Amino acid sequence: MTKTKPTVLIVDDMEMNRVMLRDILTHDFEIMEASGGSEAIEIIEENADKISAVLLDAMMPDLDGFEVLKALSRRGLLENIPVIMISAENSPEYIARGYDLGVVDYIGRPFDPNIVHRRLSNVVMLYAKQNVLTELIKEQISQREENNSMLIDVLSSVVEFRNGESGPHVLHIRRLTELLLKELARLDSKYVMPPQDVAMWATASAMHDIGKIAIDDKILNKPGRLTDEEYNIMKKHSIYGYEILDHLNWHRSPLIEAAKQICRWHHERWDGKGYPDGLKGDEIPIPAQVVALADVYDALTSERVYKAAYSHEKAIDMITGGECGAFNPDLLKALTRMSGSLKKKINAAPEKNYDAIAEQIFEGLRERLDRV
Amino acid sequence: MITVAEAYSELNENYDAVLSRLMGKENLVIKYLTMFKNDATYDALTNAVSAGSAEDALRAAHSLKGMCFNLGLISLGTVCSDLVDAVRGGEYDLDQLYAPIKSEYEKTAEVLGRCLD
Ligand SMILES: [Fe+2]
Ligand SMILES: [Fe+2]
Repeated sequence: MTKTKPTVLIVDDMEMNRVMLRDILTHDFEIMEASGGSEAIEIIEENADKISAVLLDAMMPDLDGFEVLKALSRRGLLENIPVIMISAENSPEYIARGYDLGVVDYIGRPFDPNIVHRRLSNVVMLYAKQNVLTELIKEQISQREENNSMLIDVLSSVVEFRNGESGPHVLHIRRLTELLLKELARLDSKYVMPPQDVAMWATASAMHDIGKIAIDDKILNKPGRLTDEEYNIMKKHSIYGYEILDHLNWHRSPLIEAAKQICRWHHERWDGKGYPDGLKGDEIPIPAQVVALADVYDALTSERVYKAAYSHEKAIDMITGGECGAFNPDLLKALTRMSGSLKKKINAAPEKNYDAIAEQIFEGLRERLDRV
Repeated sequence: MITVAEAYSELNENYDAVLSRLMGKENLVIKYLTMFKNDATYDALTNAVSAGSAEDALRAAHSLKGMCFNLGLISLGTVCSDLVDAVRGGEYDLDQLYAPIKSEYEKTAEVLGRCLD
């Protein structure tokens, strides 16, 4: 088995120093050389994927080692490429400065070749392991996120499809939820949350109507107006959604807990006149309030069997004019503030063709049910 | 023609220390000594001193010091180090600092001349 040698860049203005290091390392490392600071930065930028470590001389005429470190750190290159500083300067302040600027090790002159070799090998191994692990984790997370999102979108689209509302509704809700949460955070620091939470709530928002799966077809797709009795049944989709998720017994999943809140409370109103629990004002969790607003906005701007689509401007007027429910004033402020760019942004989300997948799954389900 | 070991002892330096650091390979020591002897850093230092440029002198002395220490030429390395420290300290007389470097360097170069072909 031929093992590829890790590449080490030797940066030193003195040829003799470079040759000494090359002699020590050439057996186990691929060697690159730079005779100055600017040359080093150039080589590192071009070969960032290839270079496993840098041996950096502190004192060089064009750009000294410290300047090189600063430049590398500005370009984000120090995170993945370990730098070992070598210098005849052994004063503690000098060494401390090197560490402050991000070197992983400091070797003084005269150096013992065996020690240079060993320290370099250790550092290279450590970083190689770290890089491999980081890549693995990143890959797994993104894959899991992607799978999560896809399953949730498929599930939500199944509901939408059955509801006769298929279209980009779920994607719009998701995008609107994300945009509104971010705008709220800009409005007031009390609404600030970590980006992964924003992403989680946006994903959860896609599930807001999954309770409709338990509502009778005849009511769900009734062409005319619902009777009071039918409307009361229809309203239960909020509780049903909550219960479906609750019965999953995934209580410790933050995403499921988030989706439970959204399913149950996305029809509550700021003035307490919503359903199912009649929560009022701050009793309603902010993300559920956000989804409620997103739901109303998207319903207004979409075409339905019983109505044409309102324009973006008309929808904003109707919502802020209080014609479509009662909302948190902060939320209305956020909506108004982002109103200008909303029309463009809402469709900027990548359109994934989950509808078609959902339709297929649904057809399959229906065939099976027919056979029973 | 003298051996490398004889050259080091004539210079009052510890050859064994250098040799063991360089994995016992005398050919490597000779290779580096040759590079050292042909290196232009000492000339750069001399020019910097006669031009009165403390900054250039400091840089050259620093480089020279690194090479010397790696090769176990401690006496020369130490006087280079003195120049570096003094210039950094801010109070110095370049010519006065240069004089011992010149005499150490000339002595070293002369001895090495007899040892390297
Ligand atoms: Fe240097
Ligand atoms: Fe709903």
